[in-house]
Amino acid sequence: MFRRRSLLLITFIAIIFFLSGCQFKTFQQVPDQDSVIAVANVRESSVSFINIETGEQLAKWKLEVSFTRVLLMPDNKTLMIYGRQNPDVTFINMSTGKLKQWKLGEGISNAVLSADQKMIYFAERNMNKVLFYDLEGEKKGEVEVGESPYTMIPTPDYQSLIVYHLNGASLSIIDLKTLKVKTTLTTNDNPMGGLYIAQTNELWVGGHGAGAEPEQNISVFSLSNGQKKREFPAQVMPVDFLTMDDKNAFVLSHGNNTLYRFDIPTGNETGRLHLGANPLGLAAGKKMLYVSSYDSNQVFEVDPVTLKVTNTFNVGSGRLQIVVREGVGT
Amino acid sequence: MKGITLNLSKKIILLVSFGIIFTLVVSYALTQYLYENFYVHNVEESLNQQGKNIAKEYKGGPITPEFINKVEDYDRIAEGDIFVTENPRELGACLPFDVDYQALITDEERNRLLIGESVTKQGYEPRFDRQVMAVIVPLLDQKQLNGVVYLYLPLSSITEAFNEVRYILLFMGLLFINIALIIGKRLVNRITGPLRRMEHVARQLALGNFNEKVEVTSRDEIGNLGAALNHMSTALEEVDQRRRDFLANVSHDLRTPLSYIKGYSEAMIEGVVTEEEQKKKYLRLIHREAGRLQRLVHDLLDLAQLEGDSYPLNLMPLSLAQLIEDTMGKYEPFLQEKKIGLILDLDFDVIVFADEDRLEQVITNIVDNAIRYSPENGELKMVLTQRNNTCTLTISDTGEGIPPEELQRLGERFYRVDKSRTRKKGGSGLGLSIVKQIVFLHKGTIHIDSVLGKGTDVSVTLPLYDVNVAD
Ligand SMILES: Nc1ncnc2c1ncn2[C@@H]1O[C@H](COP(=O)(O)OP(=O)(O)OP(=O)(O)O)[C@@H](O)[C@H]1O
Ligand SMILES: [Mg+2]
Repeated sequence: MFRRRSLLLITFIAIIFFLSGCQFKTFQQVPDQDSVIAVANVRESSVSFINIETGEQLAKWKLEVSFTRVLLMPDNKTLMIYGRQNPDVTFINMSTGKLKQWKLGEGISNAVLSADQKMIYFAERNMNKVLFYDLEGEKKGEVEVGESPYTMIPTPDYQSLIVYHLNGASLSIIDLKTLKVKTTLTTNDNPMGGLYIAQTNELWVGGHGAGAEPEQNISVFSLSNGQKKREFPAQVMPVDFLTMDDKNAFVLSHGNNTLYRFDIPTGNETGRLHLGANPLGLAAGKKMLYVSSYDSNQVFEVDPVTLKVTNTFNVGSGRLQIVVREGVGT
Repeated sequence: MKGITLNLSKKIILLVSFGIIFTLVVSYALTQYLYENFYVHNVEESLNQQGKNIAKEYKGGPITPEFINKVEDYDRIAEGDIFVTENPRELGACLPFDVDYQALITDEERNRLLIGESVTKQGYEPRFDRQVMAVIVPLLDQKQLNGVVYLYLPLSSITEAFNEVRYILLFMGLLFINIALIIGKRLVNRITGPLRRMEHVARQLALGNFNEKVEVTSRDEIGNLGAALNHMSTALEEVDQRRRDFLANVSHDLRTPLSYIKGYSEAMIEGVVTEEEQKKKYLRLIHREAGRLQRLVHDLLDLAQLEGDSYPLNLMPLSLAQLIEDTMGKYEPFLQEKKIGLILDLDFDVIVFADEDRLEQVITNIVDNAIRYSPENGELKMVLTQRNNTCTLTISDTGEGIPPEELQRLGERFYRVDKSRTRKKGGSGLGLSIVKQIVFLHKGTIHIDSVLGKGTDVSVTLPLYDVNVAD
């Protein structure tokens, strides 16, 4: 009789513990000194951390909710995890494994840090708005833009934020002083990805293409007059852009699995590399480029000079995006 | 239950209809199933095979215009529509970004294609704005989905092929229903017709009309029922006849002595008779007839009691030979009067378990007959023997005998060989009935043998007293 009651008690405590376990859940820690790439495996809702030097998987966070993207915070330790279907934006500290959340509501499709790294811009797709938050989670404002804001590029002069309308054919330029849209430019259909070239005040715009026609080119706009200056080929569907210096731009075209290197001033192609299957994520470390392949569950390490794959990592399923966190030790 | 009462034929018709409809529905479902399983499966299989054959031509790398041309050639001769697409937008490469574009395939289909499976689907396809059966075969170069072969067939063309069969099936079904209903109705009539006839006959029987008979046409249960009903009708008719006879007999036998009594007493009351001698004679006659009436009523009562379900027999072991001797003692004067010699041959070991008074009644009735229906100077012989577990008493006379054709009916109430009820040999015809009944109650049997003009043997066989059983 007595034993049965104590058994019941233990079970009860175990259940309580189990239920509340979700609340206090901490994640596997990632040592501060290690340089890692964090890979968002959206099909299995996990984030894998791979040591760049050793290729070893340091940690894998299995999340209970679905998400699509991650963002590395300015502290170089906290990873923000979010998704369109998820009302919460989740922050997980890599060195402590602790979790905190902001309630922003559903519809967050993309997030970027401001040029001065003091703000987070959220693209909110359900209401077609851009939301401005400081790092403490305090809302500083919002701006209504065109349909389905996605790609956001803050200009380095802190003056403007360029926002693409993914399901339209235009982009808005928001004046960060007044928090108003100051210009709207017409682009190709389904624009995504791009580069702001400060020297020439130019904007490169990539995209998916119109209807059944996949995008073949990168369009170059002059932000001085808002005119499209030219376009040059980057087949097929260039959606991910990156620079490591003033000279070279790297563009990932997911339609034909190609990584291009362009000379920034001229827009001439200086190299290309075929890799992966439907590669969707591009990120840069100090020395190397990293490309995630959505269909083949791989991450490639690419030398930006030789444009050769120097390493391949296999983990997780459906990698949409990668971010690189350089460790303090290196 | 209260509302509807269906007669048998309606019930059977209903049952048959249900059966037919059920069968039809099941067979329709079955053909649908077969259609689904074989025809549609067949089309699917052939599309799949074609797709696989085309996909085999693909050797990796980007899709070449030659390959597309080849497929277009193939499309011209093939049954369905076939095309190849290498367009990454159609292949759903942008699906992870939630771009507003309806790709040719869904994310889930893409995942299956990526692992080399071909996708089969059936249903509405917004791209073609109609119902189709489609097979998608991946063109994979390792992990890269470089294109798909898309084969489809409008579903209507598949269903059209089946429509013809459907009409034939429908027509056949209706025909089948009609034929089955007609046959069913005939069958039901064959069953219920005789039943209705029987109902009619039974009602007529209740009214006392025994002339109506059921026509027995079959040798099945219903035929047998008809035959049984006919048999019952005949039996009832006989019973009824006997009841009438009985009543006629009783009333006749009562009326005759009554009219004597009435006549003589009237004569005396009105003073028609004056002589003392004459008056005495009349009184004797009245007394005799009253005695006759008394006997008749007594016999009838006896019989009614004996035929009842539980007549209480006062059973005890007794010596049958002793009983016979004692009884015959009382007959001495009558035998002498008729100059009849008595011969007794009795086995004194015979013990029966019986009601003494009743058994005496048996002997008396039989001996009465023997004396009554014998002329003077006859001989009466009584033999008692035992054999196995039974004993037999045979009473033989040298009287007038009974014609053989009458033997059968002796023992029926009021049955007499001499139907003219002369008062001379005037029995009422109940004696043997009573004997029969008593013997029956004692689990014995009775047998009458007779030669006309020579004499009659009446044998009564009774079970012997069994000490073991009785105790
Ligand atoms: N021993 C016999 N010899 C010839 N006929 C006989 C003999 N016994 C019976 N019968 C015939 O059988 C008939 C029936 O006999 P049963 O004893 O039943 O009636 P009964 O003698 O006529 O009248 P009851 O006995 O009631 O006074 C008689 O009427 C007679 O015709
Ligand atoms: Mg008699």
